[in-house]
Formats: sequence, structure tokens, C-alpha cells
Amino acid sequence: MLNTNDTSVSEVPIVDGFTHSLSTLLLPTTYRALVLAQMEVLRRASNYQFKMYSAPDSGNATIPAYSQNEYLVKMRPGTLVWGMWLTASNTDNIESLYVQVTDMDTGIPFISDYEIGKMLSSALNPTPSRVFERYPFLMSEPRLVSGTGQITIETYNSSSASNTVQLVLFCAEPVPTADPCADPSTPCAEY
Amino acid sequence: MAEIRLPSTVKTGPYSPPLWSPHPGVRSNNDWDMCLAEDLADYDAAFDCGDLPRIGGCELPWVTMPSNGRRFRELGSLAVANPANVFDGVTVNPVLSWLVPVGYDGIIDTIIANISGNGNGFIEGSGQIAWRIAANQRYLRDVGNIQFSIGSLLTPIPDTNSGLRIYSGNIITLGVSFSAAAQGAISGTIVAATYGWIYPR
Repeated sequence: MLNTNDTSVSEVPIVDGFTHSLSTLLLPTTYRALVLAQMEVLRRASNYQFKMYSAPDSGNATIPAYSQNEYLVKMRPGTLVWGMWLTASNTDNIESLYVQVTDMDTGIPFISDYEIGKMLSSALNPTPSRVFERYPFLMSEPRLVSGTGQITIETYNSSSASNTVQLVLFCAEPVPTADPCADPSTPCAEY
Repeated sequence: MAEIRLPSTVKTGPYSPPLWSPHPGVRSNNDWDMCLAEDLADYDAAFDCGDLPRIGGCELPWVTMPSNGRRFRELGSLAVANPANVFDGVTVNPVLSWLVPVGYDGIIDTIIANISGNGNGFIEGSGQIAWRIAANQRYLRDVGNIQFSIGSLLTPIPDTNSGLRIYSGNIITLGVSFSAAAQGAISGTIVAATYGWIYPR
């Protein structure tokens, strides 16, 4: 994601939610590559806060048979999307769900083609092994959202029965820093 | 700063303090924040000033056919009396199937979903026939369950369903589901078509 060559390797180890997460720590093939390597800069940054976006909202989460939902999420520009997770009430039909997430400012989708919902869900979990129950699905590199921060989530239900679906985007949102010219000085005690 | 006082009857939710403070050392940007901010600035610059236009920043190939685009007109038909047809309201009986050429994306701007002949027993909107258009088994927006005939080969209608984007390597299928009640009640030939253009991706 970023060039860290000019940074000392003796940086202190990061202790954060990723270090302690039992769902991501045990990802045997991707934890080191994705969390330790790709998220290094993000995890060391100070002014980012965790934020989850769910789409569609509860009122629109039930998608009729042969139908679809398009949902727009507005993120703060500079937000980094690092994980996704999909849940569906009817996991029998989850292989007939198709999902795509697109940055509307650039038109560039997150996924090369519409992905089967099962791939982003716990339904991928084989029985009895539980090796895939490590949510969320981590992206190989946090995805930067720029421009106006508009992200559209398309969810298609190609089955002959309705299904209730939500996709959750796991994000790191930049916190606006104080502008001493615009923000009056406020005593620390108030915080 | 003027203090805002809300009436005690107003529910304001849990108190959530801001994560930053104007005082030095409290949630100030560190080197890593600046690094990420630089990333954002570079990204914005690449799209706003460089060769990669943001959506709306230029003529879009799926809105206006570019000079290197190519029109397509894919047609198909299926006799209702075909013995292979299934009348269960769910099974999709194939009418038309075609492949978006690899290396090209495209747009379907016109669809035709019809049944030939008059007086063939088909009642619009009755559910006897449902036309379904899919790309790689994913029913496209608003055309997964068409229960009314749309257009004909004589008068194709670019309608509100136009603008269905399709992508390189997609298998476009147009099929129909017949309800059980349709068996014996309707006759004729299902006609289906997709018109539009493809362009190098």
C-alpha cells in the first residue's frame, strides 16, 4: 500500500484489535500478508477510527426473488476499506446471491466480477472443519476511498425465493483533525 | 463557544467524546497519518488531473457508443410447444444465450421480450410467462422477472430498462419460465432479443 522503506524496522510492535482478534489472528495463510504487512501503515496511524457500514439498510435488506438492491454508502474521503462480510437469513440460497462493491467516483469495482455471496460469508465454512470462520473477509490491501466517498453496493438475488441480506464493510475512517484557526481552544477537561 | 443546552426530555443517545482535541499531543497526526494523507492526495491527483477520469468527468463508453464500439443484435426464439419445455414457474427455459467477447465490455440498451402471434392465450401480467435476462446467472437489474411483453422485432423499444452494463466474458442468457397454468393455455413462439453495443474495456 505504502512505501515504508524509509522507516526504521525497529518500530515498536503494534498492539491493537488485529493482534488480539481471534477471528483474524488464526487466518493461517493471510494474516501475516494482510494484517502484518499491508495494514502496517494504517495500524500505526493515529487519527483513524473504526467504522462499519451495512448495506442495504434493514428496511431494504429483503430482496425479492429474481430482484436486486442497489445501495449507496457515503464515506468520508480518505476512508480505507479493509474487510467485508455478508450475512443472509437463508443460507440455502446464498449461492444465488451476487455482490459487487464499486467506488462511484472512479467507477472501479472492488471485485473483478460479481461475486457469489457465499464467498464472503460464513456459509463458506466447511463442515465439520471451521477453518474459514474467520471473519471478516480481509481484502488483500485496504482500499482507499477518495473523491466524494460514494460507494455503491449491488446485491442480486437470482434465486426463486426472497432472501434477507446485508453486506458489512469494515473501514478505517480518518478523524478530522483540529484546525486551530477554525476550532476555538477548548480546555482538555471538557473531554 | 456557546454552550448548547437541550431540554431533559430530548433523548440524545450515549455521550460520545470527539477523538481529537485542539491541544498538542492529543490525537495529533503522526507520520503514518501523514503518509496516508499523502496517499489520498496522490490518488486524488491521479484521477482529477491525470489520465484516469472520475465518473462523469468524460464521455462514458456505456452512455455514448465510442468510435471503436460495435453494435450487437442477438435474437432468439422458442416454441411454446417445444416438448422440452418445463411448466413449473421456476425452471428457466433457454431462449437466447450469447457470450460477451473477451476484452470487451458492453451495454444492453434495448430488450425484446415477446410472444409472436395474436390470440395465443397469453394474458399480460398473469404470470403465465416470465422473461428473465441474466449475465453469468445473475439476473440483471429490473429484468429478472418480466411478466409483460416488451417491444417486438418490428418495433424494438429502448425503454427504461436500457442501460444494462455487461462485462467481458459474461454469458448473457434470456429465458422464460412458464407457470403450470400456462401449459396448454398459450401457444405461439417466444421471441427474445438484446440490442446494444460493446467497446474495448
